[in-house]
Parts: sequence; C-alpha cells; structure tokens
Amino acid sequence: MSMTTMDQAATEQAGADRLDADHSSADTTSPKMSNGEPSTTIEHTFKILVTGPFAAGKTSLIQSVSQTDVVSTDVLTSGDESEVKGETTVAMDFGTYQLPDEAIRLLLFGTPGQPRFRFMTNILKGDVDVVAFVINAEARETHAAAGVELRSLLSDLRVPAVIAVNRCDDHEQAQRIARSLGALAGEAVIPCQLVDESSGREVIVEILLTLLDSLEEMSSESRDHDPAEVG
Amino acid sequence: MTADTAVPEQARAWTAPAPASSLAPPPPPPSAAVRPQPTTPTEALDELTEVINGARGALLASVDGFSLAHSESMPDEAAHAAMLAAAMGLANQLAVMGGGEQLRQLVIDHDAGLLLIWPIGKYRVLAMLTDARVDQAHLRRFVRSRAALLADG
Repeated sequence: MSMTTMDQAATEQAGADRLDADHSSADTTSPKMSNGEPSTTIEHTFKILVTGPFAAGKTSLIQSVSQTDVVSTDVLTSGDESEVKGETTVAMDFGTYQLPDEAIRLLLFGTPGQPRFRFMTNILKGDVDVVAFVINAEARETHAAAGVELRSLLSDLRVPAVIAVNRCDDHEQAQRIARSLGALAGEAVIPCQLVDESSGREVIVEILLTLLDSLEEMSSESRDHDPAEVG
Repeated sequence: MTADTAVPEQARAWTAPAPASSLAPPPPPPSAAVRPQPTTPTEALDELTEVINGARGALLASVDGFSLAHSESMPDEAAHAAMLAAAMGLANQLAVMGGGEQLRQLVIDHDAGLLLIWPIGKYRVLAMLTDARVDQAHLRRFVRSRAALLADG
C-alpha cells in the first residue's frame, strides 16, 4: 500500500493555519454552478435530484444523458449486493444536460440507493427543483420501501416529481407501479429502458415538461397574489 | 482530576479505556515486539490503537460502505462505514480533479484531532481517529506493516 509523503509538521501547520474563508467574493447568484464552462449563455439552471432504490437505474440515467463527463463514485459491491450488480454509487453521480440552442441547463445529482447512504440524499436534496425518482419495474421487492421513501421525500421538498419506471415499456404497467408507490395523479410517470440513451432522453424531456408546468404554476400563483391587481 | 473526567462527554466514546486504577504504576508501553502478532483485522485494529501513541480508534470498512472490523474503542455504528465509503468515493474524484490517479490518504483535520483514512487494497478502507499530534509517519509505517492482514483477513 502506498502512503502519502506529507510530513507531520506540514499537517500541524495546516491545522494551526485553519483557514477562515472569506466568502465575500463568492457569487451566489445564478447560475448555481458553472462546471467550468462559459456560463454567459446559461440563463436558467435547474437542479434535478435523481434518486430511488439500489439498482434502479439512477447512474444509468445520468450516464446516458449527460453532456459532460459524469462525476461518478462507483465502487465494487460486496456481499449480497454483489449478486445484484458489480458496482454501486457510494456518494453521488453528477452530470449535466443542456437544451440545444436554449439557455436552460439541468444539473443532475444522483444519490446512492441503499438506506445506509441516506445521509447523502439529505446532503444533495437542498434547493432541488425536480425529483426524478427511478424505480426498477422488475425489482418488486424494492417497491414498498421505495414508496415510503418517495412520499417522505416529496412531502419534505414540496417539489414536482417524475417517476421513471425502468425496465418497463408499458405505460399502463408504469402507471400501476407508480400508483403502488403512492404517486399522485398529477405526477409524471414514464416507462423507460435506461440502458438506452434515447430512453434516458425521454425522461429528460419529461423532467423539462414538469419544470415548465411548475414554472407556469408559480407564475400563475404570483399573478394571483400581485398587489397591483388587487381592487 | 482523573483522566475520565477530563474527557468531554461527546469524545469519551471515542477514547480508549483508561487504566483500571490511577494509583497503580503505569504499565510499560506496549510494543509490537512483545505482543503476539495479530491474526485478525480486529486484533490488528486493537493493536494499532494501543501501540500508537495518540491513536483513539480504528475502523475497517469495505469500499461500498459495510463495517468489517473495529477496534474495541470505536463504537460500532453502521453509518460510520457508509460515511467513510462516501468520503473516499468523493476524495477519489477530487484526486482526479487535482490531476492525480491514485488517492493515497484522506485527512480530516478537526478541532478534536485527526481522522486519517487510507485505501487498503482495492476493496477496503481503514480509518483512524487520532490526537492532532500523533506521529503520522510512525502510524503509517505501522499500518503498512499490517496492510496485508487488513486487506485479506
């Protein structure tokens, strides 16, 4: 095993010189994250939380649609989980999707699926605009717990959701599974095969439509409460 | 004041047990030369926390977040192994961001000491809680001498 060459004195110095960061120069205005790219053409950036149970297809979704290199924290699985798949996300996935010729960019934050990593979902869920909840139609044993997680997350975040039913081609079946999870009537449900890039893009389109609906709703509510229009 | 009362409540759980009596002469410092060689990861972690001055606890986890072994002085909480795996997962990406290819060590330097984390082979992660002034070079040499057992045991 190889170890660092950093000596103890340097570490102690670093400890003694704890940095009290000056945040005054930090740009807290939109876009939320530049990702190292020119951001002058980006007018709207939305944060999408891609979550769901273990082995549902969250990483596959992000990898299939991201237009930038995906930040992945996949590691080899062990124990019973290694019988389901060979690798798993332990911290997060991150990818981006930008509409061609449009000033809209989606930042896709993928969570690990296992309950032991729930703290990562709690870290990543802040300031989310849409939840993309991925569920594997064939892994029925995961559905009950997934439903509890979905409703809990949405009642906490109060943002719209897209239910992506992976390994499913049938709209009716996808709707049944979504209902079994406790999905509400207005929540978008889409069957998909997330190993397929085009199927991943269909989920992205559904997310964009959901975002538009949400923005229109907010705009409408804003007009309804505009003091200038009162009496 | 006894050593026990000097330790803040929150830190006590992370601290190796105090000697049975403060009146008894202190035992000679344990050394690897006079101890039997550890044969399991748990024994190796207990040895590490006893032999290394300033080491307070050790945890061995799989890279996918399962606790595999821990020293007697370390609480067995499932979330700790998962947090280590997540931290190492992100740190690996940060190493790549810095132009590196291999993460060697992750150091969490906090007001109560250090949390040192190393990859152990391809499949495991070792974390050690230590005082801030622990002899890191000595600690690393010791960990290296037990790496094969920790990786395969």
